[in-house]
Amino acid sequence: MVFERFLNGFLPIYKRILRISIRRKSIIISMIVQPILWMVVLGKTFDNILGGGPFGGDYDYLTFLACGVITMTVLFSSLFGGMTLLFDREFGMMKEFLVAPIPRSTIPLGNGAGIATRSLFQAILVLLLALVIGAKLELSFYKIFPLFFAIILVSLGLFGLTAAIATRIESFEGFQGVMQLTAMPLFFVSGAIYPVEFLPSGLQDFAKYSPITHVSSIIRYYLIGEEAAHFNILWGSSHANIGLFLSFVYLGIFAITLLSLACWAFKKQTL
Amino acid sequence: MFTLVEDIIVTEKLTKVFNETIKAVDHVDMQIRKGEIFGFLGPNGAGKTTTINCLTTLLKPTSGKAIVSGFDVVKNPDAVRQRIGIVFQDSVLEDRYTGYENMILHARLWGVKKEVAEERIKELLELVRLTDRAKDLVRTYSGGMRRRLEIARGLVTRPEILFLDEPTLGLDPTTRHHIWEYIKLINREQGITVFLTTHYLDEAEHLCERLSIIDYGQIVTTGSPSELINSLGGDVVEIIGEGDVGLAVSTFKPESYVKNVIVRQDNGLELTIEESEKSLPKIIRTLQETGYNALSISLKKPSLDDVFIACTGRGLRDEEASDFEGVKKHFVMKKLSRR
Repeated sequence: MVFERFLNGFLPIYKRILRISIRRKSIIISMIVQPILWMVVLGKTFDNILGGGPFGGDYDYLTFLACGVITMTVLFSSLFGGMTLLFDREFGMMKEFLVAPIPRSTIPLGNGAGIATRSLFQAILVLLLALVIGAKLELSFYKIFPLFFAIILVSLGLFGLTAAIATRIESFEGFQGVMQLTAMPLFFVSGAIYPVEFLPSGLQDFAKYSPITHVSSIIRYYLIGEEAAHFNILWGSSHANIGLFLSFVYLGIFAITLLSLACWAFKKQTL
Repeated sequence: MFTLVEDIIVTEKLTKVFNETIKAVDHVDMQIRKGEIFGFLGPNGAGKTTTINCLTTLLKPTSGKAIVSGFDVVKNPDAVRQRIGIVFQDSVLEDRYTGYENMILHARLWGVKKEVAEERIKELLELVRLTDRAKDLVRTYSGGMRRRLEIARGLVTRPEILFLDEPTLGLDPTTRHHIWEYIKLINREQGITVFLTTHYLDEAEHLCERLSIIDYGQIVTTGSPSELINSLGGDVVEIIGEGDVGLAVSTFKPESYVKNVIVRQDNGLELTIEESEKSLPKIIRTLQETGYNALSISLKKPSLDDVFIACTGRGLRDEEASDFEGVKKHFVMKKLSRR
């Protein structure tokens, strides 16, 4: 009975996010154009400046950056996913969900699952574009699933964060301000566009705590190899496998904690 | 056999206070009978929407009790939600869904089985005449179409009560009349109790079997529109004429149908009378006998506006222009109710 009510809320809310995302043509176009810009303009240009194997390994900058663009895509898509909730509260469907006989937790969970799925699709799209543009990414069946899992975890966590903020914040301007303040620093220290090892030491310590840095490492581990992942900086261990495992645990805790926070915030939400 | 008239909504001292100071709803007691169309009439900021939000479990009352469809809104909100339909004051639809998809989404949320939902949606779209637009995105709909869709959507779950918050706000007169017809139809044919709020007097008069006038969060008076209007004492006949008004006054005063006589400064007469349609010919005859030469006779039937003035000491229509406090309170309440 409780489970049935949960599904009555979760499934339609989840489907709605995907359906309205597909129907937004501007979103789809920017989803394709943005990563192409990053990889073609920034990636190819820096390839010319830095030459092959700039960071020690035998991978070029475009290959390095392609992984970073995947991280970036997931970061921004998930963080701004919380914007949907704010939009719903101001102009749309939130009242319909709040007055429905469904558990309140299905609102953040259904939306979160939808945003995570969308982020994953965007990541796959960037991956395919990267291959077309010429990034030398190693793909295999066994690597792809843990990679997807990591992306889903970080996406859920980031969504949980914005969903919780969205229940407390009054205006779009405020929300956007908070998001800019959160997203930009996280992105810059994540090692998405340059390796974490080049960060000033104080920032490196900060970067270690950011889940974005961890997912960035995991993506490089699977798509390029151990030498591009820098787990030794994150965990101080020379064993990449231990670092990988710990990063997954860290992302898992991040996702569960922030989703729980979002569910708690929604339980108290009245209108 | 006799049928018992049940009360489907009962509140006792229902109170909602925002920010510990603003009493949006203040000790409201009401009993709404099963199957009736009941209205809340009052100006903006009177507490109508807050009352609906409390009854529909969207807001927790500060104190007091509310039983909706047999369940306490605080103790058993899910049971209440399962049994009600709501049309909110502002449009709550997914713009990027078609009308049909919006209905399906609603049915899913309330746990209505797909086959059952499809059947009902088909009927309801027919009822509100949206069948041919059902496959279009809602963002292409006009205001009236959106309202009709929302009313139809509220009925997919076969609710026992339908809450309508300002159902015709911002709609043109023809569309308003159509919406009224739909509301009456569903009430009559499906036996659904309708609770609506409005600040339109004609809407309340046209639709409601009973209504409460609410002002500053308190119920001022309750009754059927005709009861409330009759409670004012009757219709007023204004006579302007020349000649000796004194004889006319002394002739009218003892008549049983005349409840009050006032002589105006311009030598005119104001008679408060009962059953004006029958009394008017008598008045004209009497006037001729008294030699008071009537130049014009006009009949004023009191409206709910007059009831409102009699109860609160001010008009309903000029509310927005003159009562800044009320409007300010309205906006503060809108903002606070989100938290």
